[in-house]
Amino acid sequence: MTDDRELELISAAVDGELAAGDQAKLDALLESSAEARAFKSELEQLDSLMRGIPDLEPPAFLHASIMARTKVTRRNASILEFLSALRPGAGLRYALAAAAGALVVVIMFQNRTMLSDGSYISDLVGTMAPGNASTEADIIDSFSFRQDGLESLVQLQRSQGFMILVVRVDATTPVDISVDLTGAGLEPDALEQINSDFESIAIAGQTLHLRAVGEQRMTILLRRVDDAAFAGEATIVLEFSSDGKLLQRGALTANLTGVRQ
Amino acid sequence: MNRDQEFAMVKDCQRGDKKALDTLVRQLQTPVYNAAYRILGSADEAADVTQTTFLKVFENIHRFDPKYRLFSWTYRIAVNEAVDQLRRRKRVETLKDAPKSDTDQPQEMAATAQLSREVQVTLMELTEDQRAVIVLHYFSDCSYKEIGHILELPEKTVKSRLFAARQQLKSKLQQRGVFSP
Repeated sequence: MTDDRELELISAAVDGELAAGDQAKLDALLESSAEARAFKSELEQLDSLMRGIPDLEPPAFLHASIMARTKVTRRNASILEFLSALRPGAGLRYALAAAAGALVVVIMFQNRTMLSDGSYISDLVGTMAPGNASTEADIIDSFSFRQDGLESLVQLQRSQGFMILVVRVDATTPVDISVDLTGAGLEPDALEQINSDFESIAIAGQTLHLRAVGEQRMTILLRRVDDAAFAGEATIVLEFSSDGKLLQRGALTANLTGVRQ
Repeated sequence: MNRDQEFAMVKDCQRGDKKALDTLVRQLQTPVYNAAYRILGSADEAADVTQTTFLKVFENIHRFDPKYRLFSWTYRIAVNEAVDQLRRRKRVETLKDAPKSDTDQPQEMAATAQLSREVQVTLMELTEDQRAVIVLHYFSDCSYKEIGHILELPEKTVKSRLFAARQQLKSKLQQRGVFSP
């Protein structure tokens, strides 16, 4: 009868973790025991079965959602790093406080999402991005409204083959904004907020949920889903609500021909 | 990515370089998501855990000890998050939200998806400790030493726990008719 220690030895061999001195012991065991050989064969088959299971695809929105939430942590880490690097004496406290404040501003301002070609989303955006007056962006569709304590303008723009959704909101109390891409043939590739601080950014299914208060702006880079079955016009449904009560509903449409995947 | 490249990327992340953070997420999100899903058996919770894991990685990147590999440090956070999530659960989840439907897939892919689900159901029948070690071994391709670092266990314990877990897994898969040596 093969004991547990011998079976562990075989397991280690199948896992490529056999200790240097154990090879001779293993060889002798396999040579003398049919049970040991059968066990090794079973483990190899189990190994093959388990390793044959392909990776599952994470949700399409996951990467964008993670990157959109890096702002605060990145800012904190940078400040900590900055503070620990300087370790000033008392005389420098005011200067450091001022410098740390400046750093926050700079980093928040630089919270921009870089694309694979080294450009930023906001560089692609037309009239709504400060300092980018020369950018050629076509406004494909827009939706705006104004009511007590809430004003919003949402534009769907197209620039250099990208589809870009620009959400601008000014709310005196927290407002929930949902951007539903179900069936639109588009998915968010990256999100960017400049000088803004959305209270929450979450993704459920094909819908992006934002919560904002004050004057905020979010730029969302959308890519065409790689789906041969989809062609034609995309409809993005927007909903604005507060305390669960729907305030406004709207939709933006665009033709996706030529939009980058 | 070799250790030097990894070290350079970590340094960039510590400086707050968004492109380096982006690279880190792109490289590790699929394995982290898969490990979380295999431990939790829920796609929604796996996505939440993946998100939380990376936020913790970013938050603590300045504390990263380069004597470890970045992926095993990240896995350690992910496994702890997944186990915490399991403990927060008030009821046993079913696999109603498996990430991919196989309805429109070719037969061969549908068979693989079915196998994946059967294995997942079986994994959920193991104890948390056993499941974690199996997931890190089979789905995350970790060595005994790496599993030891991630789960904070001596290598010897990893070896014996993996042995016991694998025996359980094998027997349960046989009972389900998924595995017949």
